[in-house]
Amino acid sequence: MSVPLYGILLAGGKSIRMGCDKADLVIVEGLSMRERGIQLLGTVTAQSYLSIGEDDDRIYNCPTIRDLRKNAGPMAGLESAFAHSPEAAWLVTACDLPFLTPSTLKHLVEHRDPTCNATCFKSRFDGNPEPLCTIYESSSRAALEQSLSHGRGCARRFLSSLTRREIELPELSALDNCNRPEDLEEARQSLTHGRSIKRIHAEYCGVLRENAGLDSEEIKTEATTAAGLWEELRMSRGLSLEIDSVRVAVNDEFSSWSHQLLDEDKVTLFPPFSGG
Amino acid sequence: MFRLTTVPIDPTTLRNAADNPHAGAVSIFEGLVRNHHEGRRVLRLEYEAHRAVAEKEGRRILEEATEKFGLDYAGAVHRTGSLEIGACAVMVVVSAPHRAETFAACRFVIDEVKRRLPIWKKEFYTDGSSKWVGCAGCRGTHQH
Repeated sequence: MSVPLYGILLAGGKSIRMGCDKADLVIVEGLSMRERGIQLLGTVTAQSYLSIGEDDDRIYNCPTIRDLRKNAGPMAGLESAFAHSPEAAWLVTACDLPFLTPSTLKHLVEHRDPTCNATCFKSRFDGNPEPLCTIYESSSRAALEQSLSHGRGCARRFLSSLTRREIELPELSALDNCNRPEDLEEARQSLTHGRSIKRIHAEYCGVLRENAGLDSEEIKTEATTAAGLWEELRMSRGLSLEIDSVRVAVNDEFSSWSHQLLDEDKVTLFPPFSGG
Repeated sequence: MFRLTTVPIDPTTLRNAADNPHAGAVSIFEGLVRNHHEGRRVLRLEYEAHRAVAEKEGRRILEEATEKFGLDYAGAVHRTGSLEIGACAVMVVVSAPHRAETFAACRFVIDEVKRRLPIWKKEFYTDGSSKWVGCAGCRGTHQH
């Protein structure tokens, strides 16, 4: 392929729920999410860059591309990347994808269709195209300029407006993101210990029992922590609560969400208590 | 002594368990099913509990109260299942040498029971609808 493929990592801003800049968080083996993201992009692209805000004056130990617009959202990073190397196609990823692996990126690159504007994965949750682990061809540049000049910064909407090749995720959880400390712990533990399949006895109480339509079930999961399991069950069973309002017990003892699950554990999910 | 029960709470039995020659005061709290909540007319309640965790945690609360207030006795019973208006949903009985400790301990126990025990109530209203209490506004939308 004569068109070069470069990578750009969107590092985002401060995370309200994490209480700090997510990109600074150490995810595995002393690497921050930012460093790991750049390293991952480097496995499949000729050159990878960190996208930085228009007014970001920090020093980074990797090549950077500065936003041309202020506060224009994630797609401003792609705009600046096209301005930097208009001839290239750009693989865009976000730094808060702790489960992303080189093999998933390789799969995307191998299935790239340069005749489309973009090659992307389908969300494992809703089947919609995922905009933040996507190859954008230079043919998408004009549409991008147009969206941004109309003040439309939504990455998902932009991708939906393009011609694209959509592919299935080879690793289901690869694009699960990380918005809370519990998600980060799940990612750290699974990166450190690897993912293994466990049999879990899951119990639902109160409104969660009604959501799930059952009291309990035997499931197989790759989740490493109770938080990882919650995220999985929330999606698969349509549970209506947010993790902040739910408590968990492992083997009939109250546990933290970062509790590491073992084969044959019993995990009980409690909605907000209302006894008395 | 903490337990969950599916049959009506017998107040006499629980009260008598607090008798102790060392005790000069007994305080009792009874939580009853009322016919209104947040302006809506309530027909009945349904209580659900996670038995294993609730009983374990309930015993811990009573042990903590006994230690903290120097009690001679601490007991609590919580109903589960369907309860009509006026029924007793929860009863706490404590005894100690003096009343200051029993009043404070009784309050402590019911507050901790409400805060810490995996028990849920669903309200059934006169208009035929029903709602899990404490879950208002919990139905969040997921953002990727």
